[in-house]
Amino acid sequence: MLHDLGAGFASFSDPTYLLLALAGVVLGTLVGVLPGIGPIGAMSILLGVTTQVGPTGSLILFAGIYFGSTYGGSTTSILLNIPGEASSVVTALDGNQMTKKGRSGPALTIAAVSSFVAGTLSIVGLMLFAPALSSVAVKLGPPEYMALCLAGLLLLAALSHGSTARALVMICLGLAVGTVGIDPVGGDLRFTMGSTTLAQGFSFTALVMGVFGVTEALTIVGGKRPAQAVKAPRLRELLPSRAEARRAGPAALRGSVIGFLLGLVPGPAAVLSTFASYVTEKRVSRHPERFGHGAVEGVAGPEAANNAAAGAAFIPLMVLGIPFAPTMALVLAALLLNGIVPGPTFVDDQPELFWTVIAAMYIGNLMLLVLNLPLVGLFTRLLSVPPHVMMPLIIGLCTIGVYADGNSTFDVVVMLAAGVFGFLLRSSGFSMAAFVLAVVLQPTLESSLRQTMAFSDGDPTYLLGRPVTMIILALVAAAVGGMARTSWVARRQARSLVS
Amino acid sequence: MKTRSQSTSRWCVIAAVVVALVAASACAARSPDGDAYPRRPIQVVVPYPAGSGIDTTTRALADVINDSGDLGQDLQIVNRDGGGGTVGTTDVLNAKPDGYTIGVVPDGPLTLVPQTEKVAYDPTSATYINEILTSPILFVVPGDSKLKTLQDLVEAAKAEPGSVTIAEGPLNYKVPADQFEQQTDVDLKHVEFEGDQATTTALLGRNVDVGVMQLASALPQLKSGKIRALGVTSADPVDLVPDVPTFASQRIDIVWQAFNVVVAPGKLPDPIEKKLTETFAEAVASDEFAEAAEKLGLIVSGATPQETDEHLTDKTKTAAGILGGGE
Repeated sequence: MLHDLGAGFASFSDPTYLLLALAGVVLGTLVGVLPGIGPIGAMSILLGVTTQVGPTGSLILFAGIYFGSTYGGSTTSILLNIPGEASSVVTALDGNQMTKKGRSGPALTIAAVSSFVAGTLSIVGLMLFAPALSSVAVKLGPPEYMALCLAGLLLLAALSHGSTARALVMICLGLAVGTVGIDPVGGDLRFTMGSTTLAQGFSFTALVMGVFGVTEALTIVGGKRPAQAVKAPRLRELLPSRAEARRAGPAALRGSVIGFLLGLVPGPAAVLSTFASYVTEKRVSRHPERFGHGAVEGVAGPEAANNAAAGAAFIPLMVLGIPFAPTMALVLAALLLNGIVPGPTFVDDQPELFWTVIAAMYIGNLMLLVLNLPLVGLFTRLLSVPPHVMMPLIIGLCTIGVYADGNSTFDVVVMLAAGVFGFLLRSSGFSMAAFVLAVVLQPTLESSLRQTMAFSDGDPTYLLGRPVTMIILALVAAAVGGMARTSWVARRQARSLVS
Repeated sequence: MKTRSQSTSRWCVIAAVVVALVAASACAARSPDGDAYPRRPIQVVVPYPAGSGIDTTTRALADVINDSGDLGQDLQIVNRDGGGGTVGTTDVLNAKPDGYTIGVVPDGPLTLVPQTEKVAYDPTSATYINEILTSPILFVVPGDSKLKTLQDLVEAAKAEPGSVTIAEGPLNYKVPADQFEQQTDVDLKHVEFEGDQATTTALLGRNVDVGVMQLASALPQLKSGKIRALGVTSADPVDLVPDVPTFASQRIDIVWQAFNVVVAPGKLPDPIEKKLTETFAEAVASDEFAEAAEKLGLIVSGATPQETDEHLTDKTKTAAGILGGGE
C-alpha cells in the first residue's frame, strides 16, 4: 500500500497536477468564502473543461474545490455570522461569539487547523478502511436514515441556546417549507398553488442566504445591535492561547471520528455531523454553559467533522460507484465524461488513478493549511470595513450567488423574503440554525419515513428488528434526557442563588 | 510520456479554469455579423442537475457538436432542475420558438407526468428534433439473491403475497412494475425510492428484494456481479448485456423503454428546424457519441422527428391504460 501511495505522490512530479490541485483549493476557498456560491456551482461550471484535463486532473481539481470550500465556508460564519454553506451553520454559533469577544483570529486559526487534522485523518481512514466501511454503510436502510434525521432535529432542539419550544417551532416551520414542490418519493406536486415556479420548491441556497446573510445585514441596518467596532489585530492575537489550543485538540479529534463515520451515510451527512459533533462537545465539556458564548470546542469539533465527512464522502463513490451527495454526483460526472465508469471494481481497475487522487488529497490539505493560515490575518482585517460598506456588499454577493445557483429570479425573491422573515423572528429569540437544519433534513426524513412505513406496513414493532435504529434512538433519548436534566439542575441552582 | 504540446494545452486549460469562473457571469458572447442562424450560442436546457445521467449524456453530445464546429456557434448547457423535470421542460416548451432555446429532455415529463399532474406546457405543441437515446429498464436483484428468473419472482410472490419488496422510482418504473403485477397476477410490496442510486444502495444492503432501474445505472454493478438482472424490458436482447433475457422471452408481454429526446418549443421556422435536425442527426450517428453512449450504458437511437413523435404518442397511450388517464 505504501508503495502504491508512493507511486501516487510520484505522479505529482508532473507540475500540471500540482497546479490543478492549487487551482482547485484556491477556487474552493474562494467559493467557500463567498456566500451563495458553493462547490456545486463551481464544479458545474468546470464540468465543461473536465475532458481537457483528463480523469486524474478532474478528480484532483474537484477534490481541491470540495475540500477548499469546506475550509472557506467557516470564514464568513466566524467573522460575520453568515455561513457560506449549510455545513458551517454550527460554526457560526460559537465562532461568531468569539469574534464578538475579539477572538476572531484564534477562531479562524482553530477552524483551519482542525480542518487540516480532520482532512488528513479522513484520508488515512479512506486508505485503510474504505472497502470494509462502505459494505457496512450500505447495510443502513431507510429506518436508520430516519432515526439519524430525527436524532439531528431532536438534539438540535435540546441544545439550542434559549427556548426549546421556540426551536421546535422553527423546526416545524423548516419541515413545512421543505415540503413545497415535488414530493421526493411519489413525484406529486404539493403546495404549488398551480404555479410551475413553486414546483421547484424553495431553493435551499436562497433560504440560507436569506435567513443568515440578509437577516444579518438588516439587523445591523435596523440598529438593533451596535455595529462591531474592530481594529486590525496584532499577529500575536491571531494565535490561540495555550488554554484554547488544549481545549480544541481533543474536540477536533472527536469531531474527525464523528464526521468520518457519518460521512459514509447517504444524504445530508456533512451537515448532520457538525450538529452531532457540537452536541458531543457540549455533553463532554465540564463547562457546557460556555457553549453559545464563544467556546473553542464548538468551533474545533464541527469544523473537524465537516472536513472528515468530506473525505469520507469519497468512499461510497470510489468503492461502490454510488455518489451519496450532490457534490459527489458532479465528481462522478467528471469521470463519466472522461469515459471512466466507477463501480465496485474501480480501485482494482484504476489503481493509478485512485492512488494519485489519494496523494492529491494529502497535498491539497497541506496546501489549504499553508494558504489559510496567512489569510487569517487578512480576513480579520475585513472586519474593519465599516458596516455601511460591508452590508450592501454582502447583500449584493448573496444576490449574485443565489441567482447563479438556480438561474431564477424567483430564488432572489425567496432570499429577500427569507431575510425579512429571519429579521422579524430572530430578534424574538427564534433559532435560524434550527430552521435551516430542518429544511436540509426534510427530504431525507420524509422519504425514509415513508419507505419505512411501506416496509413495515405501518407497524412500529418493525423497528425492534433494526438494532442500529434502536441504538440511535436510545442514544438520542439519553442525550436529550441528560441535557434536560443538566439545564433543570442549572436553573434550580440559579434560582436558589437568587433567593 | 506526454508531448510538449499536450502539456502546453493543459497549462492553457488551467489558466482558462481560473479565468472562466471569474468571468463566467460577466461574459456575454459576441458573434460575427451575418444573417444565417445561429448568430449566437444556443442554450440547451437540461431539466435535471449538473452531474445527473441525462446531463452527462447531453454534455457528451454537445462536445461532439461543438468540436465539429458544424453550427458555427456553441451549444451551452443550462441546468434547470426541480419538479421531477417539469420545471425545465416548462422553460423549454414555453420559450420563444427562435431556435436559441432547445432542450434535451427525458420522455417522462412529456409522456407520463402530464397524465398524473397538471403541467403548464403542451407536449403535443413541441417540435421534436431527434430521439438521441433509448434506455431499457431492468428488474434487478442482489447478486446472491435466490431469485434467478422472472418466474422465480412470480413464484416467490405467490408463495407469500405482499412479502416480496420491489423498489421503484419515477413513473417510468411504476408502469412496468404495475404491468408485471397485472399480467402475472401477483402482489408485490412497493417501496418508492428517489432514484436509481438510492435503489442500488438498498439492493446492495439487502434492504429490498427487487429493484426497477435503467440499464445505465445498473451496468457497473452488473459487471462486478454485485447485482443481477432478471429481465430487460426491450423488445430484443441488448448488446451491452447479451446474457440478460427480455421479458418477452420469459413469456411476459412488457416492452417499455425510456427515451431522451431533443425538443424545441412550438413551431420553429423551417430553415432553423432543418439546420438543427441535420446537425443533431449527424452528431448522434457519430462514432464519438456511440462510444460515449456505450460507456454510459445507453443505446443510441437517432430516430427521425416523425418516428420520435410516434414513439412518444404510443408510449403516452400505453401508459394511459396503467396510470388511469389524465385527471
